[in-house]
Amino acid sequence: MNFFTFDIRKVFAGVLLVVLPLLAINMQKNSEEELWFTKPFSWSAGLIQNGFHGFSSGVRGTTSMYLNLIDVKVRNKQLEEDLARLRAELGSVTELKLENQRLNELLGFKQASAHKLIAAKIVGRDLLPDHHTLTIDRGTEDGIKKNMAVITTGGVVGYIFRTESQSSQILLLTDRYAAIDSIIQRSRARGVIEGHTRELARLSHLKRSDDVKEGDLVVTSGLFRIFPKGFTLGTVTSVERSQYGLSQKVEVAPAVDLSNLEEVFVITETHDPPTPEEAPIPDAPSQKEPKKASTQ
Amino acid sequence: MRGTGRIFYHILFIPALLILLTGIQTSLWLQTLGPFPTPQFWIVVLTYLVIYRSFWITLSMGYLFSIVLTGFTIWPFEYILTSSMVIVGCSQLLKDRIYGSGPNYFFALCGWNVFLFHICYTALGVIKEDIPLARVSVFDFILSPLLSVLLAFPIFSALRILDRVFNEDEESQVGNSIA
Repeated sequence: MNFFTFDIRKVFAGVLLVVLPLLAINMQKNSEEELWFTKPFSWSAGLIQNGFHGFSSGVRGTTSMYLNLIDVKVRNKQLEEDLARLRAELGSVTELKLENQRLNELLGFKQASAHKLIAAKIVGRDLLPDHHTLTIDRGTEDGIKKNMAVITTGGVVGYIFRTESQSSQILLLTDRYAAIDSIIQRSRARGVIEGHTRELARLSHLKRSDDVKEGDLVVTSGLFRIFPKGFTLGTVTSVERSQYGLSQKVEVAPAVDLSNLEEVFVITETHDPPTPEEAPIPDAPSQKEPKKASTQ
Repeated sequence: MRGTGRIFYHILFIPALLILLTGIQTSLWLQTLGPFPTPQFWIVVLTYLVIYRSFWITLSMGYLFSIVLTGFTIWPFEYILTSSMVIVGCSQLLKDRIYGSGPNYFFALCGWNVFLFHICYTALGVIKEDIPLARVSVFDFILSPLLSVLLAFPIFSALRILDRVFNEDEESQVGNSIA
């Protein structure tokens, strides 16, 4: 057997199939910058998601009106036609009323807020089931920038990790790449909220001696002025202290139902006064950049 | 089909179709079915290419697909590329041993590939990433391949028609393996 005879095509195939992807993973950096060759496709992803959102909204409106009419036709011909129209109108009016109520609430919240906010609609989500990101219909043209905070009336949603001209992507606080500086409202113990599962986040970097109890409210610390201080992140659902560990395992349920979001607010300007803690702390994790996957 | 028509079909048309299908998966699916698990349409298209294209075209398309898909997720490009290459490599090995050109073979390979992707995704998430995957959703693991197989038929039909339109049928032969 001659070990020096080999098929160059097989070697090349092996390089492209195995060596290059593995090298790419091992050489991956925690770069904040998006790869240049993926940018046009990020833009088209936002565009197509905006398009599908517009399409589905239109179809839903038409379908609901059509279904209302069919439902009414069964009962009475003449009167029912009027009734159907009225009911369809009433349905849409009720829908409008509810939307109006919701938007008024949001507007009230926006006016009451000391921060500059931009309202945005959710148009898409992540390709992969275990990553929790959402796409919104606002982008750099509306003044959205990377790392801006995203909130609703209920509390914190996440932060922007990718922007395009007419769309942006939000990293939800439950995603495992997310990290948000936070404090326990009652005891002022400080930690970092990190995504864990679809329904839960974890409060890490807490000392074993820190005072944390089930039911405690976790709020943003306001550090680095990305998130306004005191915005609700969630409630502590479990606290676990191992016998010999230095820290404690704290699970937090987000304050906002992240699976049913329709509208969100992006904070484009915060007016919180700088906190004394704002001096950068070496090695302290912050929400400044998504914790991208990297080599161990 | 040769020359510019072929390049146009593979470099522009199929990626455009992929963007459209991924848009349906990430946006239209969310608008209609909410947080219900989604099929992985991109794997369906990649599987089609594995069966009906030569190894080198599929390999190149695997790279192109990874670039396109990066815009739809926070998962880094390097990981998507690795998953695509695992799918291409394993499917090619399977194709070299058991080959069938009919829809049933395609559907079976689709289901297997989506399942393989979930295994690969979980393995990379647990072994390689700094923040490991905390919990694997068994529901997604089972439902995603099933949904992909169920919804693969219209995609398969559309791609067969497109292949006929672009006269790409002559590539649908066995024997286009690595060597």
